[in-house]
Amino acid sequence: MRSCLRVLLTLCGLVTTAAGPALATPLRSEHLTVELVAQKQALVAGRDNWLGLRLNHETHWHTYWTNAGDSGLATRLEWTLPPGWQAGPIAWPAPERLQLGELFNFGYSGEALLPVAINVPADARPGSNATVTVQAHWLVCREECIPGQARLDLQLPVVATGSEPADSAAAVLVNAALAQRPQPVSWATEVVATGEQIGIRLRGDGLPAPDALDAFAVQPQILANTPVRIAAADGALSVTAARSDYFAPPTAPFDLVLVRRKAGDVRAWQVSVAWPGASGAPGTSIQPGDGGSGSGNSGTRTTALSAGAAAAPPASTGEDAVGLLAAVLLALAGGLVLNLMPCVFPVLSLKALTLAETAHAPAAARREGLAYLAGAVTGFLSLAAVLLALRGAGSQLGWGFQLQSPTLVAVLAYLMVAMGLSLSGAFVIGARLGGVGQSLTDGGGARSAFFTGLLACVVASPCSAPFMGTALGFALTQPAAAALLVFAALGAGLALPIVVLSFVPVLARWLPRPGAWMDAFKQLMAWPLYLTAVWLIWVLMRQIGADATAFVLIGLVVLIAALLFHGRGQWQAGAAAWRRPAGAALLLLALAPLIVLPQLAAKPAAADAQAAGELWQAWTPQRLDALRRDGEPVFVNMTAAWCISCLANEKVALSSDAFAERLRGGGIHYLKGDWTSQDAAITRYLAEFARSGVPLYVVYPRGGGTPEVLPQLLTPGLVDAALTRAAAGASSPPVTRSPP
Amino acid sequence: MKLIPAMLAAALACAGLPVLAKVEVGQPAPAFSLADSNGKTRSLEEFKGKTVVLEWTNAECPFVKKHYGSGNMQAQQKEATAAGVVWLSINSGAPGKQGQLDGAGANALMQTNHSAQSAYLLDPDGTVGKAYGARTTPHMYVIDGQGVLRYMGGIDSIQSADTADIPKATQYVKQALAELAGGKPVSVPVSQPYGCSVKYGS
Repeated sequence: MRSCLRVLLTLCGLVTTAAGPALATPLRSEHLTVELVAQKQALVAGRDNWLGLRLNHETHWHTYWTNAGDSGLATRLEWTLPPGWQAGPIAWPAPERLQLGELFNFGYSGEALLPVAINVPADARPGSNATVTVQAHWLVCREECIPGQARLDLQLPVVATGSEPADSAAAVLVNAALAQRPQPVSWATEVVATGEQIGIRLRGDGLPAPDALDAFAVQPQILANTPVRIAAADGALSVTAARSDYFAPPTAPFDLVLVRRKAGDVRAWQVSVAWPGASGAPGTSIQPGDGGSGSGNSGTRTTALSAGAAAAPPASTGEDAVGLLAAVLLALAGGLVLNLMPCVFPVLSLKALTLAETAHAPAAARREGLAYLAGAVTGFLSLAAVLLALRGAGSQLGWGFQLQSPTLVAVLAYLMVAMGLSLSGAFVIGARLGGVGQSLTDGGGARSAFFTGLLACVVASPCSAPFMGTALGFALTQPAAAALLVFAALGAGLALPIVVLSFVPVLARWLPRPGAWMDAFKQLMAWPLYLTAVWLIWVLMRQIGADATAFVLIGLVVLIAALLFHGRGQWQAGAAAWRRPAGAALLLLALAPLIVLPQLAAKPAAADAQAAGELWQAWTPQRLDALRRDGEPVFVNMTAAWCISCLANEKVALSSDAFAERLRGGGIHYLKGDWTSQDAAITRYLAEFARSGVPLYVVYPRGGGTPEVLPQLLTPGLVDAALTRAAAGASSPPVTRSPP
Repeated sequence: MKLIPAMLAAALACAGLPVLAKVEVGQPAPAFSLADSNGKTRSLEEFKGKTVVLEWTNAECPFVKKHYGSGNMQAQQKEATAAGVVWLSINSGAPGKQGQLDGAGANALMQTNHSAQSAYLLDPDGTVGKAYGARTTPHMYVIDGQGVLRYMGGIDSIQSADTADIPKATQYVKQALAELAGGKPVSVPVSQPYGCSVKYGS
């Protein structure tokens, strides 16, 4: 009779009271048996007591962890306790990664238990019987899902503080679940988020081996739920995960749980990970550990070293500093090389010569050199700051962004023509004849030197994009402080020759003496600038088409007229008063096309996108995905009209008949992405390869598998070999998971 | 400098993992065409100029039942379609899986539910679901008249299968539609979708 009643109550979703100490009757629900259990046979006053919700899943069925993954819902408990008692949160044991087709869930299967600490106050009366009640809500799924809930009671005697009651029958289950709780650890963490990837580096004592290891974020909307990759290197563990499609930048540190399942043994660790730039991130300033490993040095590059860095091995902190140092030195060298670019050299060689004139006034020369340095560094820092701010605001931009805006390209073309005309002698920049650096004593020299530095940066910017896109692109993937440092080094490199000249007058003496030849030299130097303007106009045509470019060319003609007109006025003593406003009006007219440019810009992309009979098709993420799904070999070429090395590669390695034959013979699809104008999809794709600029060449082998990235300078042989490998199939075991 | 090759290697390795396609708010929504419950082919292109809501659904999923059983989903469908919005329910369940329907079944369901979507689209091979990366039922997307994705995620802000939570939750799709109609940016453009898994075939 009693058991009949129990069955009836059970069917109604109600639960009977406990039959014996510490064990309530298990409740059979659909595909899941739930039961409220305790670790001990009694509750001890004045301390935490472990209770737990036992979940016994039918084969193939599962319930969910606190972060459920792609679908599902975490189990939820609501407690009803005697007054003054408190229930802690669920102490989630290590979850499993459960695959459902292409979806991934985090949860539990088979026999599982969710422990909860129940705090019994010290004044609870020993000898009394207490009833603990929980309302449990769960979602149990195989592929289909069934929500369930139950009210579960447990009656237990209360014993005095300090007593040690015997284990209950469920103690084994409770203890097993407690042992599977992630153990809090204070490893040093470092996050490198690049586009679609999130890399988390862990360092510290007691790192687990990377095999049989999995990692989960407790908070959703950070990491994607697909399997992560974990590797050990240099005494650190690196966890690489795809970014969640529903990513929201964490505003506080998030929790990463590592789970190792090996030979039936489950161990788990939990570490707090500071997100770079998040408020409250402990790692925004470095906290050196008491172990004295000197982690403070690495702070410039890692904005997210979190507390507990005590155990970080010194070797790895040194490596970060070396990485940054190398990047800075490379940028410095790059800046130096920029001096030789056709858009920069004419301006700077003249600057060097005016310095030579001032060799007799070393103090003034030094001041000028420093002002020039400040100008160049300021220019690059501003450019980088603008770019970082735009990226921070969510724009998908990379280095070269300054050439992706037609207006800026047109402005640069105007600037090149104007400077060229000045060198050709059509007009003089500045009111006084004799050019910059004339009045050294009154400080005007320093000011003009600063602006020359700024100008050098501006004129260098079109050249820096095609030649230095990759290096700067890497800098952009680094934390802001490190990125700015690299850009500052670039500016310093650009300014270096002039600074050296100004500080070492002996060198200046080796320069040819100023004289009449300088005029001829200036005339000559105008031509590289005109040619740079031609190149910029060509880029513009690719961006906005011939019609809109024609307006810019008309504007250029008016600009030339305005400058010539202005130049004539400069030579005439006592020029008529009307000349000034007339010149200004002409100049305004010349600038008009720039203002209407955004409206004029009609994308001629259609003409480029898919020329019939071309070897290649336009790249889209969807097309690449579709081809990859079918296991087709694919060659991806990311290019831009303003990218000189891209164009060189196309001429040298990607336009021969042999190349075409190799593609056809191997059945390789050739997808080309054009980054001449802004394209967020391409920027994201570049970021997947930790790039922020073009060119990028990727070869995907037949049948899936790891794609191969080709170097930035191609040779026909190199391309041929890569394509042959791709046509043959995956050379390395594919990481591709076979569909379930 | 070891970081660079390491990062590259990691990026490469992960690029090889096939995942559901990615769509992104602010980017053009993938084009598609599917047969509706009456056998007529409907495409996203067809609705150019109109705001389109996509709702992944499976009538047997408890989370879908939560929003249909309470009338929440139907009310939102009525309100949206009355304002000229196109509401497409999509079933990406594979044949034989829970909740998968043929055209007649879908028509019967709409009748019993009193639902007010513009069309019920059948995606038995899951292509469109996968192109959008649809994970759950319900899983919601809002596309503006220019074909640009403006919202993706859950139907509302409280992840539960409990009808009682609906009045307390922020209804994200409703909110996004109101903001779009008012020419305002969508204040919550992305949220975590919640529900049952979409029952794709393998």
